[in-house]
Amino acid sequence: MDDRVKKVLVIGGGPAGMEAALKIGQAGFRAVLVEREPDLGGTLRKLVSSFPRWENPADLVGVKVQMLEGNRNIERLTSTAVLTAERFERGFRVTLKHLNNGGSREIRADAVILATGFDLMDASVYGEYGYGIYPNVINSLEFEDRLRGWKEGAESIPKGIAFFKCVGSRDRSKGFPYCSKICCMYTAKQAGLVKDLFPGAKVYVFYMDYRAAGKGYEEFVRDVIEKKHVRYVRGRPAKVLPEKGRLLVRAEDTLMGIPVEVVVDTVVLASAVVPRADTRALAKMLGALTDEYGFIEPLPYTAVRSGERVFFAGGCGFACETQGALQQGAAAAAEVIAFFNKS
Amino acid sequence: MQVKRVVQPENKIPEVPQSVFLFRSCTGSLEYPGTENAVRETLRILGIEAVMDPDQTCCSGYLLTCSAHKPEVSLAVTARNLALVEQKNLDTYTFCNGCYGYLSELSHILLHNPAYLSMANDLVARWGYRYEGRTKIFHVQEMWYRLRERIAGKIVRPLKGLRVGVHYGCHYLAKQYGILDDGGYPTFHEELIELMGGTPVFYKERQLCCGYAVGRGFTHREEIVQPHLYKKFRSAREAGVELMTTVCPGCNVALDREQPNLNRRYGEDFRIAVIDLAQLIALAIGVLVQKLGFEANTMPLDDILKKIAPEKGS
Repeated sequence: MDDRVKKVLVIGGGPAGMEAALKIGQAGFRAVLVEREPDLGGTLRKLVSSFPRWENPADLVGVKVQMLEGNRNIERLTSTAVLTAERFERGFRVTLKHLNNGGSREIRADAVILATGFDLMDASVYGEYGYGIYPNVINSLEFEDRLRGWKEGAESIPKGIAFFKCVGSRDRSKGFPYCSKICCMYTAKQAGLVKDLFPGAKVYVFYMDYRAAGKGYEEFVRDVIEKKHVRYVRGRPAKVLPEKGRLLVRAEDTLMGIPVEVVVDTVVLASAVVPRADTRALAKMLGALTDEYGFIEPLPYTAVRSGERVFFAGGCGFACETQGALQQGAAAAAEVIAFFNKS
Repeated sequence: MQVKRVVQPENKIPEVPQSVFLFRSCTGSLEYPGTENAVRETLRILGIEAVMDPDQTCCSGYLLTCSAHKPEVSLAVTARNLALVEQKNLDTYTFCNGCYGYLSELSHILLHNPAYLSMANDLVARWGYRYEGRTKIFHVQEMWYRLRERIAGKIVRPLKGLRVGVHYGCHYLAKQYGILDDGGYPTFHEELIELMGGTPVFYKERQLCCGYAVGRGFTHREEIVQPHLYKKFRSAREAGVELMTTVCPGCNVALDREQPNLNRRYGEDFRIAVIDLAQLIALAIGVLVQKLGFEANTMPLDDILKKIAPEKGS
């Protein structure tokens, strides 16, 4: 391959990183896509179904991986992490480490796109919900595994499931004053799926309010409530207590003004979306900006640029859904391509 | 977040003081005089002198909660009481969650609002007091946990597996920041029980409020408090709780004195003794039973004393 062709390092192989690498490769530049996990797909790979169209995320990941594989300009490095990075000449010098064999190699890049994704806040800061104390109190990502198990025919049939939204998000006392943006939608998706799989199950969603801002989103949530008969209760739960091997949820229905108690098998906590723990250090090495929480911050009057030759896309900037990750990935690629063509 | 939610006892009380100011509690000293005694005896055995002052008054929190007087009055009361402590150059240790909560909150208001502070200080200056904010407010339960190893080394009456259900009390946990444990799921009292040879019981309703706010005084509403406590005691009985501990005389009153009413209303036979955690620690480290004032309890402790302190002396 021609060494004079400009090269971009894309860190993170979720939808945002895959899309960015793909567009850069398709435009005739070289991309190195680095992913820590053995497979591409990021958080998207762990998900069952999607909003607002109930599509299978595996199909989307499959299509993207196939396109990446078919492009000669794109090098895919899975099970690989960025060890060190520094500015060098008019670009970057980066050491990559293979996580399985421990080998490392150095590469040069003319630009970097950060797409390191997001994590969920550790829900054990809410002692009253018993995350980490009761095994059936789990967070939303862990629940995706349960959903997959059920779809593949796991035998345990739930009689009742309660979803708690805004666990951490919009709670200043826990240090997360922001709305995590995606929880309303994925919780509706998860609750709806449970009803599809087990129509007899009682499914409750405890919410402060629901924010369904997006094309088809409001209709999606309405369908989950009205057609799939998920019970939405407005009120923040007070407590989860063990009850004869199941879980008792104590809450207030603030629309009715009455205390309510429901007994369920599983409590699913929609924990606040937080940046990955190592994103801040990575940003510092590359000269990108981060905000007080550790999310990547754009430069003034830009959308996906965070520093000289440093761009970002997806959940590392802030909570975003799959669509948003793809859009930002494409936007970051466009910025890089425009920058290369100009310089 | 600037303020840490959970603080390790070694960070909260880095150096164990030789003397502390023990802030008396009206409810405690009137309803269960043994509690104050137990706290003093326990502190003494742990090597800490408890300094008290007859000039100290009620923290005035209960009256404030009931809107019995204007908040400004409570600010002045707090300034006066804490000025009294500051004259002795000591930190303030309360043995009531109410005193702890109100002193913390009202001193916070004073120290963050110069106008309130000067108003309160102007008033108490007539009697020669001046509050500066030097004394720190603690609850003795924090000291118990800080000195848990010292306590473990002094056990002479192990609890012999006694099934204890602890009650933390909302006014300590609801402070949320700078307390010893996760307010949503605290366990440090249970650790103390275990260390004294008891069996901590995590009964389902262990964190249910004591109901004092609607169970006692002139805010009493029995149609609210009794169903509420019925739930708590049924759950405690189901889990086999033999003894309940509190760290707040208010909680102790609500839980102990209300049981006969529950028994009348629901045709039940609840007989769960309720004592202060300090009384239980004092018992375990060998304080004379006669000094602990269990005669003041509505629910008798005979069975428990037979088990732990058959000799009824130290």
